[in-house]
Amino acid sequence: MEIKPSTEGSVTTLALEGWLDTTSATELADAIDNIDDTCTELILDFAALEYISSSGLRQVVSAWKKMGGNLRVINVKPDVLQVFHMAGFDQRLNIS
Amino acid sequence: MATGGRRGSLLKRFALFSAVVLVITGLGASFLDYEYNIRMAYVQGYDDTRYVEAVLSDTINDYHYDEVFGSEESVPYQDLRSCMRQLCAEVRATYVSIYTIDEATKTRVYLATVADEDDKDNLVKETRGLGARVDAPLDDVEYQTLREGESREVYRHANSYGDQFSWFRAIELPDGRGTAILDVDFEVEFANSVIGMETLSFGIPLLATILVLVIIEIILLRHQIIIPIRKVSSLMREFAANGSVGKDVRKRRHDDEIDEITDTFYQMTNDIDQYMLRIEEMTTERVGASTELEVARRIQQGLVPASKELETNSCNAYGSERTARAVGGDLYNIIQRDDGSTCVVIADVSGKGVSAAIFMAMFGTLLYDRLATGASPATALNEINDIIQTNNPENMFVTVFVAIYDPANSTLTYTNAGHTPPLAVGGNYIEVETGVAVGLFDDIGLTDTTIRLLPGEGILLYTDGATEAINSNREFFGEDRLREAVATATTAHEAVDLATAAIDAFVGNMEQFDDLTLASLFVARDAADKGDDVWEGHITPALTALSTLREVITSLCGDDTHAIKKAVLVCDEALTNITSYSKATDLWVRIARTEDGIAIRLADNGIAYDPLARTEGIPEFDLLDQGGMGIAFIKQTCSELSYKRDGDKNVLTMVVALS
Repeated sequence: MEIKPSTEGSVTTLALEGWLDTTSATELADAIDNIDDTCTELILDFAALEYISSSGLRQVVSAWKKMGGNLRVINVKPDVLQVFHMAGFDQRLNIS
Repeated sequence: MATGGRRGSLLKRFALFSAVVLVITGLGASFLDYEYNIRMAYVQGYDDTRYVEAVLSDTINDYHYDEVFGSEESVPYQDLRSCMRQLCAEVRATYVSIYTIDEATKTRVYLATVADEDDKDNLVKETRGLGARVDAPLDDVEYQTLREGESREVYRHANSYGDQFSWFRAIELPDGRGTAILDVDFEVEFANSVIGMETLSFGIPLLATILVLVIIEIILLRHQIIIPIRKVSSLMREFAANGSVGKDVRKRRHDDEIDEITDTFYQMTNDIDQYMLRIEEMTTERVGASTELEVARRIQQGLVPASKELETNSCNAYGSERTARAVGGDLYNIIQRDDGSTCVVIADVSGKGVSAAIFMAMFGTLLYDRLATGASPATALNEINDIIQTNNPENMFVTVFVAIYDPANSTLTYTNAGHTPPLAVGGNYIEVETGVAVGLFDDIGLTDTTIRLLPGEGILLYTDGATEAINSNREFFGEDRLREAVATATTAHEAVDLATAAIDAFVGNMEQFDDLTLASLFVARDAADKGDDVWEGHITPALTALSTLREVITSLCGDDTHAIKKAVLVCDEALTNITSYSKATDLWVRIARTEDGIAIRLADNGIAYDPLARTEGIPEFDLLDQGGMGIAFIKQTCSELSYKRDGDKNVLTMVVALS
């Protein structure tokens, strides 16, 4: 899996590509840790994300907590959206 | 049959017969009497004729020929005729005539003729008077009379006055004028009337006497034969109707045939009574015996039910028995032990019937006790042998095969005591030692053998009732047919059913004389045991193993990326759990591509944990960074899901449907 971070003002975007499974979840955790305090909003761009498991979802929740709720998940593909749906994330997260 | 309905009667027939005899006797006697009397009439006629001749000869010879026979008007001639008529009346003749034979013309020349009645006398005076010639042919009797002086036999003839019989005598004419013939005719009819009276006077008393005798005889017959026979007959009817004859009615004895019949009848009723008693006794014994057999059968069915099934997470076992008799000598049992292992037993007791059943009951109880309390097959049988053989007066024995499946190690431990080795189904041939039957010898020294048995593999235990089932051609079913019949079986129940069906089809309508007992044990298969494309691996549980599993799943699923992702997801979640919490050191994985899905079996040797027992749902969103979603994901994603604790392993089998 690849993670491409980009920052525009106080908004940081992490673009994920490939499979976010139990082994690659730590990579996302590291990337979220690296976001500095000036960032007021985090955008997770899942346009190129093929797969996610509960390990990945845990990191999404961690990010949501770190950002105080200022998190958006965009460009979610159907297969990944279905996993979000199983966990009920689609009701609590700003997903598009 | 009622007496009134009988149409024939011995008495009637005898009376009819007697009447016929009576008539024939009467007729015969009358005929003989008539014959006798007519002969007596002839003799009387002969004597009368001699008398007539003597009188007439004297009368004629008082005169010269011409004085008498010169003219019809002469007094001597008239006197002669008067005399003749007197004689005629005296001897009851019809005609009396005197005539000569003219040799030259062969004619009769009459001298005088008289008749008994006046009109006939007047007629014959004219036609047979003095000098009248009658040229009727002369008869031999006339020549005989002339030659010998009299006719030797009566002469019968008929004239216008009816049947006559005549006697002829020669009479010398006076003055040497030759010999004349005296012809005296008698009427047969008159004689008959006299004879008839005499015959009646003789015949009627005779017939009456015979009739009286016959009646007496009939009465005797009735009392001596008919009535006794009717008594015997009514006794027989009574016996036929009631089965008894009451008291003995024999009183007067004549030791005749009737008494013999009566005696024989009483003897027969006595014999029949004895037979009936015997039959009743035998029937009672039979019923008693079959009741005891029924009890024995029920007790035995308690020990060996017609079928028994046991299914655990790791294996399934099934047994069935069909006895050919009320009680059998076969035994099977399936025992679930406290340590999780499963025992399957088959045994065949020597001999048949109740004795075999009793022995089998004792053996079965001992064996159950040993096996249920944890003994190994060989230990159990060796101990039981020691108990039985020390006190076995009937020298009975039992062949046994005992196997125990241990799910913790997936092993089958067995021992054989002289029984037919079981069939291995779905796996390799099982090496089985023959061993020694239990009961006869001390220290038989049976030993255990342990093999590994895989999911879907099983064994079929049977008695010789299976392989020695015979069909109408007297062929044995045999081990080969049995092996072929159960080759496709994957569960114990299936194996027994297949074997039973094949044997039934083979024997058809032939009656079987041996018990048919089958028992089977199969290691359970789950979804991952099916399928054609299979990957198996023994790996160390670590998150990094997921990539291997992902590769395998991808290669098995091809282009179905949707299914691939779901299959990887459930592996991802399960592996995360195993790695995080189970402390397992080994992980056995089996991934199989089935017809409509992909089956993944993960077996780890970690601490026992049944994820499916977890009932709580997904935690609050705020807590989800601590996890808790994995099992819910597995449950929601799988189309089929099972967990079992197989020995020291957690075995989780997950099936994801293909799209």
